[in-house]
Amino acid sequence: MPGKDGSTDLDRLLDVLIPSFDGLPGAGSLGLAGSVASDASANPRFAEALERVLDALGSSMKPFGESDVRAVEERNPEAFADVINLAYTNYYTDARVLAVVERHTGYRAAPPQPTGYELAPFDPALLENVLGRAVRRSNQLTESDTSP
Amino acid sequence: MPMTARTNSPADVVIVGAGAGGAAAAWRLASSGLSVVCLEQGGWVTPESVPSLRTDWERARQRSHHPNPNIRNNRWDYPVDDRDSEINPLMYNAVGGSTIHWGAHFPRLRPNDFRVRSCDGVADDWPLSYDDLEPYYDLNDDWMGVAGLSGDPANPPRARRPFPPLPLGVGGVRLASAFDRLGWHWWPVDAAILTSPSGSRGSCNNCGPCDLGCPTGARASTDITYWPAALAAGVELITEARVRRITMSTADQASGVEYLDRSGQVVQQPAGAVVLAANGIGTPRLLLLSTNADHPSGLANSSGLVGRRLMHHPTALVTGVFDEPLEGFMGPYAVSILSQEFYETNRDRGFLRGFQMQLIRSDGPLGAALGGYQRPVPWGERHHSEFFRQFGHTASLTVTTEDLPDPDNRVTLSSALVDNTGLAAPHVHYRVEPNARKILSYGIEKASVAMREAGARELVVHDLIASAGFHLLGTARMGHDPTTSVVDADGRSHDVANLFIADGSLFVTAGALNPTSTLQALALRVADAIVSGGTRAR
Repeated sequence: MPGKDGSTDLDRLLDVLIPSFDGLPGAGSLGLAGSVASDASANPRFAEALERVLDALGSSMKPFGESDVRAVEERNPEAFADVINLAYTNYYTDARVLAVVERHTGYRAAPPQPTGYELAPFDPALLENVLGRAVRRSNQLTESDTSP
Repeated sequence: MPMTARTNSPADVVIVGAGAGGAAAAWRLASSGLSVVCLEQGGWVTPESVPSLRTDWERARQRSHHPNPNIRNNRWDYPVDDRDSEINPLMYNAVGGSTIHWGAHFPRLRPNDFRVRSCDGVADDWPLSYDDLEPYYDLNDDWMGVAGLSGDPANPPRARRPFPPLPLGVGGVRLASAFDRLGWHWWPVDAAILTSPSGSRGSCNNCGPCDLGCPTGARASTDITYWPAALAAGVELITEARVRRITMSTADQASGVEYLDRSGQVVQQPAGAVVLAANGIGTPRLLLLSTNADHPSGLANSSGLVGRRLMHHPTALVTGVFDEPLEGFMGPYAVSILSQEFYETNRDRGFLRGFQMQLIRSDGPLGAALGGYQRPVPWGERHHSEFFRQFGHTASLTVTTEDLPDPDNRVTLSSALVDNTGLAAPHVHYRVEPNARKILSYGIEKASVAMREAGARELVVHDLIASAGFHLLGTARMGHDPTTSVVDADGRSHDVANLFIADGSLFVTAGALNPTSTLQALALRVADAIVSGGTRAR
């Protein structure tokens, strides 16, 4: 049931789990509740977990914050882990979020294919040390083989 | 039991499974002039359907394309009863089998891996040597396409790799330098990935998630390597065909197989020889499903070893978190460098045999947040700072161990689960054996030393990756003695003269290296034995 501001319990839970960052609102305010609920409905285990966690948070009219959510996590660790999976899965596959990740890391927000990344040539100079060690070991073995 | 709807024309050979081993055997047999039918319970996977073409590719990895069939729940799959296993078996069912969803790390076993009893007084020697298998390794390399570099001082000389090695990546260079300072072996891996175009296959473009499929065709899978040639040679490939038992004409002669076609009808496929290439879980499952009055405990099971000696390669993971960005989201995730410094037995270490360390680059954003290789990113106020502290800043070393065979690690038939056709699911019983536990502990210590030497500020250790059951080995082992092995050195059943196995079930011991190149080489060798044995449809 929506609160006074029109937000649902799931919206508010998602905002607590993944708060706003760098111009992006929290996961709930970003509008991910629908995709989270849809994702959950495709898997009975996830659906039950989400229902359990939301039930544990109590009435939709009661405000809750991080400490309330942590108390729910302590009482329902397995269900809560599934809800985290739902939240992260839908957050980190959202194009708006990936654009922010790209800005901060160099990760490209586009799908991995068909563009990929540059395939730099292998540098054979990297092998000098490992080959040198092998030659030294081989020489040591040869010397010990021929020693009296 | 449903009645037989039809009987197909006889073939010289029927192969069950179109994956790594089945495809290689199919091509070799058909190229030698035999008529071959291959039955595959999955279908074709098209390049356009590869999830890495979509923004939500990481969701697919968690759901529809998860490597665990129990999570993926594709209609081509069968469930695996893994409640009694410390490691979850992983596989894919399609034309190409599990090569559709693999990392393409392509090492060969080392010569001593074939003689563990002789070297270390435990387990068993194989009935063949590295030298026996070498020409088949070479042939298979040609078909799969291998990028790498010959000259690895830890391995026997081998032919020049036709494609140059993949770039190591920032993390790979760091770890290679650390290994150098420690005086430890490392080498760029052999990868079944093209680093330049060849024929209809494109070059790797360093995208990362090889496990989800490769629309460029750079990463090998047998649907694009062996299968076009096998079909051209005349193999009849029947997809969405679930084999439910091997049929017999006499107590020691198979007459073919019985399968359910895509409409659920029962079909008989007569053949002069039957080759099972359904992986180390599917093959013993089928043998156990094929009981009859002459073989009450399962077909080809007079030794009692069908399904036993399951080996998975227990794997630990040490992840380093670095201050500097390592860009591990770039590049084939599973292939960069490996170290075999601690591969052979040194009794001072307190265990037998050893382990490989393999560099894993890193995950995409979702995998990083969920904590695939590192710790899960916490929710709440610290979420974003922790995410950006870790994402792109990690590299991991696997510790993949020798897995000495234990008869109690086994595949049986489940009394609790059936597949979508009503056949009993395989029930996997697996515990990490004590020697492997010791290797894991030692390996974690050494991988941690390497990570610290490379400059990692923080280490995250996974003592045992339960979700790393990629390797399904040993459940129908080869051997000379019919009382202690299921098949002979040619992969032929000791009990059923025209029944052969051509997959990871054959392994006598596991080594500590990824098995695909070895099981494919074995499949080619088994095919040659069938050809030289003069098997014909009758």
